[in-house]
Amino acid sequence: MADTPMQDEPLSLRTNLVNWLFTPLYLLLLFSTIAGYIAAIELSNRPYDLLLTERARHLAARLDPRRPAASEAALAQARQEGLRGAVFDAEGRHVLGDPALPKPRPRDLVDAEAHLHDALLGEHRMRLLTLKLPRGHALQVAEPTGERLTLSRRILGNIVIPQILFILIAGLAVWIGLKKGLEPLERLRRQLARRPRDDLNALDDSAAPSEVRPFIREINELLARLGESLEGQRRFVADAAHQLRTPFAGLTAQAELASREAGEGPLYDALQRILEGARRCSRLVNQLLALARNEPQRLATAPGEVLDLHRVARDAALRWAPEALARHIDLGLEADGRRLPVRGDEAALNDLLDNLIDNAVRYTPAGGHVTVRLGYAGGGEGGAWLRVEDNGPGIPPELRDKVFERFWRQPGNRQPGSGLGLAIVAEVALSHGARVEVEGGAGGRGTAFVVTFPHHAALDGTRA
Amino acid sequence: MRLLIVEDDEVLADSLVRAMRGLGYATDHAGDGELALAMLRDGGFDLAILDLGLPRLDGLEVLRQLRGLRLATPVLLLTARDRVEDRVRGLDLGADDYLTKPFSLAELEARVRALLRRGQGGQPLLCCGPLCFDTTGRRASLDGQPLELSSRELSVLETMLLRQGKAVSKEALVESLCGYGEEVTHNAIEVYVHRLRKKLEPAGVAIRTLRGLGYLMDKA
Repeated sequence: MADTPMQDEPLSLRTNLVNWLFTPLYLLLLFSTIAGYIAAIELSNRPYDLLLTERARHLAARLDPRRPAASEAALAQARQEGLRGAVFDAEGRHVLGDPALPKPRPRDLVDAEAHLHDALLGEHRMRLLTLKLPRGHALQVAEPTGERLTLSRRILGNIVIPQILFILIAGLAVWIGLKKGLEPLERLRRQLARRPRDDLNALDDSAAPSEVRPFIREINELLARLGESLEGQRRFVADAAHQLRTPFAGLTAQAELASREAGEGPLYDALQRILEGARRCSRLVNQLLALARNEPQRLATAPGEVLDLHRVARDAALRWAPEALARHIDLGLEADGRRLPVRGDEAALNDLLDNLIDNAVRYTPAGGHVTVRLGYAGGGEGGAWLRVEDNGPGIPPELRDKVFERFWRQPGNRQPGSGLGLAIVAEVALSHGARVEVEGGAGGRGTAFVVTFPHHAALDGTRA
Repeated sequence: MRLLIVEDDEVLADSLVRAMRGLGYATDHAGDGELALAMLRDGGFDLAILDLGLPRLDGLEVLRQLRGLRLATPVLLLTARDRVEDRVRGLDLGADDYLTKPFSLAELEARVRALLRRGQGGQPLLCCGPLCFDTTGRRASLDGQPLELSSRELSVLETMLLRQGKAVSKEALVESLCGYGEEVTHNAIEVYVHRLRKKLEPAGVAIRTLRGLGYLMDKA
């Protein structure tokens, strides 16, 4: 992909389209309104001008400078009909009629035609008409423009109001069109926003328009490459962990053999230390494997089988019973015996349970209690839940959010451990759509981890 | 008893050979799959401990060819992989048991003993400290003295002895009694365990109750 210059404001496709569509559209509409206005004035003037010319010629026929009295009378009559008139001689001197009228402009006297123009008379806008009379005289006639203005305003109104409506409708249409047109992009955004953080499956481009498809293809290729590199990383961790197991097995076996032969004494103690160290390393290797195995993108795609959480949890607790007894910890299970359907991967759930129980057993002092409780929430609260509770030292509330981080260990923690156990729990829970919470144990003492699995309507039928 | 250890990691192989010789078994070692197959084909081994990741010939392939030759030598698989599919595949190909690395020697030794016993047509005697149970005669004894137990108590005892040191769920005990044709409740199990405990505890055999889970039999 080509580099794009860094921009503070991200470029909005919609703003861009609106700018490019609306600016020319509005300019065009403005132009058309102005043209309409000019046409309106032109149109409204023409009939009035014809009438005015008619009346002016009629008046001119009744004027005769040799008979001033009759001419004055004709002008006075015209005045009564709303037409002001005046006669000027060849030198432009006022001869007869309204003295307020301006003398004719020479360019209006070039021929026998009537010449019309607008002029300001005092404070009134008038339509002035100039007509040549015999013997170099000229008639000036003025008519108020009031009626013409009314008409031109009406015509203008008839043009502009539809224009404004047209602009509004066009704007709305463009807006809706853009919204509809950009819908595939919005769909793509929602599709991306909705997917879980670890979902690297290809995006569906079947409904995408041809312009968007190349982007989806590129994104899918990127996702595929990302998936490959994540898978490579995961495989590396898994392979490394597997490769480490054989040397650890050799180390453990040799140390065991040697300590059998060493008998009591410092050598025996040293060998026991070596054994303990080797076991801790093995545990870390197993946890790394579990973590690699439970990378959510691997499981998110598989719907998993329907399992009975009660059975899985019971088997896990049974596995840990000897260890708990050896540490003088009372490990128990509390459930009402019914099937608790969850959809998932048994090996992954074993990882989750092993780490929760291991954690509880490890951090609870001798004489303490660890209880695995099970139930089904139902309603809107989710499906099957499991709660591993101990009465050990507990985790301060302010640190509870941190416990699921990889390699995080509680400050001052002296128990051997990797800080991976609860990260595995979190990963497995995530890949099963389950919720993990840390609370205080019963009566506020100790710690309780609660894992709530999603409710599956389809699983309800399998409940006994 | 003659054993063959097939393992390419020298440190691990050495410890396995020494451990098995320590148990009194004549033990040979093969460091790759082809050699192992050749040695097993010659016969004379009562058990093979077979690593899956081997040079030249993969462990599963050794197993497949071995069974293809209709050789029934018991095989205990060792593997660094712990995926269920691997396990199932190994067992499908005719492995008798399966152990994931790393393991404790004690665990390996117990499995080897169990396989060798099975090769000899089952094990007549299950013991835990002073307690012994004769599986063929279905008789229990404590310090050599016969123990008076009902047949149901004997079944419960057998199930727990088979898994001594490990937890046994109440469900497993219920299943062990299913052959009697009547419904067995969890309460009934508690009664049998209570009776057994009264007889065994004074002799130093403990049956520990695992709250809500089941029981664990152990030397006290």
